[in-house]
Amino acid sequence: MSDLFKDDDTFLARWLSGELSPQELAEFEKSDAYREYQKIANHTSNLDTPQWDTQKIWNQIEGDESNIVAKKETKLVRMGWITYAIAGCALLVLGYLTLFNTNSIQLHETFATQNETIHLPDGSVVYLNAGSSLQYNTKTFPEQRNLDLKGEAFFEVTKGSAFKVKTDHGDVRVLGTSFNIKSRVERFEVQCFTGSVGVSSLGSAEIQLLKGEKVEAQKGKLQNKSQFNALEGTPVWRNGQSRFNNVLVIEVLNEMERQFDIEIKANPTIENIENYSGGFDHNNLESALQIVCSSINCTYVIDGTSVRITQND
Amino acid sequence: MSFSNDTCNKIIFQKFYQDQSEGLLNYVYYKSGNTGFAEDTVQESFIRLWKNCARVPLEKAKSFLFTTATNLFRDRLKHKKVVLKFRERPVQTQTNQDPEFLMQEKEFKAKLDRVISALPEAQRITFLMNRIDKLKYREIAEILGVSQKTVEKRIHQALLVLRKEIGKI
Repeated sequence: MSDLFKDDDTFLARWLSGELSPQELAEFEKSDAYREYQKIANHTSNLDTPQWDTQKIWNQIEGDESNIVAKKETKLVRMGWITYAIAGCALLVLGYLTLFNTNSIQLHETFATQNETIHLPDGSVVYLNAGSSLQYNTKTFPEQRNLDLKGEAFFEVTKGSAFKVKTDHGDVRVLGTSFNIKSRVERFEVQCFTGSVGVSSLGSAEIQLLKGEKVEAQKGKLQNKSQFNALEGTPVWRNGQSRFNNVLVIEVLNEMERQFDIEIKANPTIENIENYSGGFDHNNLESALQIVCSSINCTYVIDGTSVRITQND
Repeated sequence: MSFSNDTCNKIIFQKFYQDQSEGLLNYVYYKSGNTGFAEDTVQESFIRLWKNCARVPLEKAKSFLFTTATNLFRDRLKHKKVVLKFRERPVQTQTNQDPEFLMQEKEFKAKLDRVISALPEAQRITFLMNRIDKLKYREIAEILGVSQKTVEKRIHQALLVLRKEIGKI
């Protein structure tokens, strides 16, 4: 390995984009490695992806959504008419748009490491955890407080008509309360912090939760209620922590990927270790890995944004 | 004051599709190594953009697409091994290349595909967006929502790994 960029972790990137100084470049060209890097650079600049049939995909977009496309087109025609009306009466236009606005789906999505606070029109607040999405219809929301959630979120719901959150695993219905929903691929869990919550899933009748109670689903079926500590008034993830009780290790690793924006490689024997209890803070990847590995006896190697975990003998 | 949004204009939307679809297809392909999945994901992402066109201004539409595609990927394809196959752009053929040289080149190319596929996801995507889509580091940083410095580190790291792994095989 050349000493040239021993402490410089962007050297090769700057070389590739032609940003090295003449001195740096001259020095690099003298090294043994230079020829090999040059070869990689040459070959990779000639690579190409598979030939895409973008016309076919476009036809499917148009075909699949013919209803929506048709609706939008009608709206555009109306917009043309409105343009004339603007000259005469701006107020009329505003009223018209309120009545005929069809683009009323509001979508919030978070990437790994991101959280988002969403203020709903009724004054309710939703805190969206990383790698999650929340969607609702702004037009019908005042009458029907319905939302779709993928991932995890904490809700503080103002009192009013029924407030319903739909997830892939089941529905949660409340009047005015605060609760946390975790609807990940491998887990569905609802915790009630104040008031009361009704939880239902495909395979089960509705279960009522009161303050300090939680319920989870296994294989689509809701299990018995159990107690948790609701005294802090907010789920631990909102304080930058993740906690697990009796879960598969894969669930912990998936949460780490979302909280640190990393890719974890572990073999199935590690992922399927059962009954893991513990947690980690969202501000330190290294200590998070240490905590998990100390309890399941594993070793980790961090390589940029990728982490490899192997089991100790 | 404008009430409408360019994204909802079908002609502009279609032009936007023509400009962006290939880059997005490549991106999902680098992530998943699966052409069918890439096509489905791109289709779904554009449909979602169209449904949400009123609240996504055109200058935000690109980032909306990449976020949506990333989330769709996260939902469906986890922990699958990625195998990428690349085509090669036609290069000027040099005359009188001896068969042994050609064979070596072919082997090198096969190794390269394998080693690139095995790069960690973030490095792989960043590296290929630069090499294949010819994007500048600044542009990649914008799309992936990371700093330019991070992009440069990933490229540097990718090159280190490629050289090491190709030498090893």
